[in-house]
Amino acid sequence: MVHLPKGGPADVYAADPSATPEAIERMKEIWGLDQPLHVQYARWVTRLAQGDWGRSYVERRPAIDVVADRLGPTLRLTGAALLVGLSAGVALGVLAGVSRRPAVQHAVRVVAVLGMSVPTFWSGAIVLLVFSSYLRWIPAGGLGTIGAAPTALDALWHLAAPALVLGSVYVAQWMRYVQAGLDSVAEDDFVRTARAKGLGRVRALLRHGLPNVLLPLVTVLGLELPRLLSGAMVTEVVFSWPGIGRLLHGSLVARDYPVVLGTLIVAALAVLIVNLLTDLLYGALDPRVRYA
Amino acid sequence: MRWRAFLRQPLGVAGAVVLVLLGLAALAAPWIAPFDPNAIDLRAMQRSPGAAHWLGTDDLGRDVLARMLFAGRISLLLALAVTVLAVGIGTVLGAVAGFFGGWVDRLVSLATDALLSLPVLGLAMVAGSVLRPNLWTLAVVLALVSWPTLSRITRAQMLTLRERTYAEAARALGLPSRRVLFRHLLPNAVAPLIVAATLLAAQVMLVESALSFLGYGMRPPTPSWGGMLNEAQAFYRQSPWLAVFPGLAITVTVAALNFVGDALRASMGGRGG
Repeated sequence: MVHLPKGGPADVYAADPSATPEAIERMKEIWGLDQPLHVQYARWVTRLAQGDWGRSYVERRPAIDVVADRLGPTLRLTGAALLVGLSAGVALGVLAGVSRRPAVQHAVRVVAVLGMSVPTFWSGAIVLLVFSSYLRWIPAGGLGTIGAAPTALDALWHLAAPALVLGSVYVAQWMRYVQAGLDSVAEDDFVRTARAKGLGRVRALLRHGLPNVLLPLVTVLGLELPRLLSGAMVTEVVFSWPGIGRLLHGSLVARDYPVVLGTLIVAALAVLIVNLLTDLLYGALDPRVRYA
Repeated sequence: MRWRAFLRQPLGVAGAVVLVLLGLAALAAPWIAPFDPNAIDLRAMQRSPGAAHWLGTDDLGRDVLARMLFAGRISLLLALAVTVLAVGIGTVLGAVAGFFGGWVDRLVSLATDALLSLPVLGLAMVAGSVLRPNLWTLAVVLALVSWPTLSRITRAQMLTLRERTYAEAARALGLPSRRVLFRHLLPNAVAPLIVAATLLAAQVMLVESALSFLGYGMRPPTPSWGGMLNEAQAFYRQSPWLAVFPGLAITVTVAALNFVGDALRASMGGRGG
């Protein structure tokens, strides 16, 4: 699945005026850059599989360690954003799906579409400007207060703004799934049966319809993850959040290609793993799938 | 396409009107811009919005309104170019894959899945940093990472369309596959593709502006809306209008595209994208 080209040569060193041509040649030998491209590529893939992702040119330690250090914060941010987006999206979706008033449905749709149209780097910057620079309610970024003992409350306080900003983008997506699901499930036999036994329309939909709507969301989760990671990358830069997005940005600026490739590989692996997990989870939650 | 159904959707119509106005403003930028977008005026640095400079000036005394208009040309042109390219690549690949099946299908589907499982922005950042793009390379880069959604939809359409009786009839007449595919089947898949293309344009707009904001887009002085936000980053606190207006322009454009796409989808009876 991962067929990324080997990143550019370490010509960066040549840009250093103190580097003599001999030193550059030796450098190329050490990195194996004198070999033809396909040989380099084959060796890179082999080493990758063995867990050797090359060394960071900047931090002078294995790239895999550099990337691994940044994985936690990214997971924390994307997880929190997912929670925000999912809960708001399901709430709005239920509201739009259950309500029969066109005004409500309209309003919900407008809010959701506006939410997904705002670029996070802009809304993030505005939030920081208003609530951090002017009002000083929230910190300007980072994982926690520097120098202070890490506490859960402090971490949450730092997490809130970026998670809300990132999560707001995905509300519309979830809302749409829930609303469409509720609309279609309303015609289903089991909802009609529930109504026939005397349940009100709303209760029948929520008690019997909603679980069937929410279940497929598990698989959507895996499909949405790449977009979520894209969003997290910008959000991390805006909020100085030390995750893999900011690492990618920094490594690109510093031309630290082993780390650049490492972040992309980790992102792809994360998507693969989540997709596998969601498939398994779906099977566990919905017995019908197991026999398919 | 059911135009009546589309016209009954106020949000979609409003979105379309906004898009047309933005397009006209971008086209007319050289004539309606009050100043030269790159003219530096050191006596008028960081002026807040007022009578002379409606949207204020930036750190070099350049008029924000003029820069916004010219940036709009770049941003809209890029979004349009990328969408056209991505739709072209995506439809052709998806159509061929869905129609012929076999190893072509497997190859295209593999590429689609691989690209869809990577964060688009990350790929674009890498390409942008390696290539130092101009307008057209940037468009190609963005198109190369955005076509998979289109190819997936087209492929799915082809899988059902190729079993229809008129496809069979065309084949029975002895028409070559290429003609059956592009003259008889693809035109019937256009409706969902238009919806998908509109929503893709909104996505492209967001990715492009994020890319430019991070500094991987086009080099200054040519501004795009995202690039203006990037340039202004250091001055947000002193000159908040530098942060507000370009972001607002992006949001309005993307929202307009999303509303139009939404309305198109609804007017086609919920089919597609």
